[in-house]
Amino acid sequence: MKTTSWRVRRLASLGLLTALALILSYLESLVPLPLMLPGFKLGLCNIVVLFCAYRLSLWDAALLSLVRVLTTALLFGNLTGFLFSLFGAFFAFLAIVCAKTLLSQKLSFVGVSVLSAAAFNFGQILAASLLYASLSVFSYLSLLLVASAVFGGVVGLLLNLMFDRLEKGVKGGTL
Amino acid sequence: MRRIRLGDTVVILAVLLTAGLLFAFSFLPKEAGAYLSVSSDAGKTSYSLAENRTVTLTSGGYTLCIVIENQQAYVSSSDCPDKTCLHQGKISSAGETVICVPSGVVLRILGEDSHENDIVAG
Repeated sequence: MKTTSWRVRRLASLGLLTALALILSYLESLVPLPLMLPGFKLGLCNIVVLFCAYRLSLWDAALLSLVRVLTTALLFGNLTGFLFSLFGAFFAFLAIVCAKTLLSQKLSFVGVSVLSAAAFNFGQILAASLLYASLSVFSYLSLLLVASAVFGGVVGLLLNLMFDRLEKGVKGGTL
Repeated sequence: MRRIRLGDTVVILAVLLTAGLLFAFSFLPKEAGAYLSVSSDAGKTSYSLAENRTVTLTSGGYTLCIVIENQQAYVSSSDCPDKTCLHQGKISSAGETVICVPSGVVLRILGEDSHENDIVAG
């Protein structure tokens, strides 16, 4: 039922989630990692994107992702970073679509999150290899993939713990 | 509370395996480099890796200092904003690159029989 109130709810939910994703992107830019490699991120905003993909819809998650990448680049990033994130977010979204439509019976959020983090990093490296016209950047992907297995796994565990509680908590509410 | 499933473990292992394969791939024997090709605003120049030298060049409004030393090349200093070129390290095998995006400078190692080494600076 696409009533006006449904539209308003969706708008409000998306606004809220986008703000949350933006804040998490900002927070993780503050975290000083001992191994600060370019393209290396905690991927906290993945929590929000995945929540959105499973609680709202895949299209909402795509929109959220796009707006998040745009605003993060405008506020804290540069053009190169924006290009990398855009490619990354696109591949991460494809991974989430595959996971939700084809593998939903086989994966919990841990698998989905690791898959989308790995796809994000693949996208980033692909953008870098196109920009630099060089395949040598792919050797760097191995480090990023290990990071996505670890941090993606942690994000997935958090979602495993949170998702049902959040869903119960907001039943009838905005989200 | 959702439980971790078998599929999750498979995904994690697959990602780690891919990482391992990519890592192993980067250790395959590479063709030794013979020349360093530098492209910038000013065009393309090649230098022999056999000779130690320091090149200072200005491109895209930034100044980079490129060092060739012991058959290796690297960017020793740069006033570009992101400094990624400094962190890309030393390159010595054919095909390896150091790229500085803000200044538009690309260092690329060429092999002995590369066709690009027509212009070799003395």
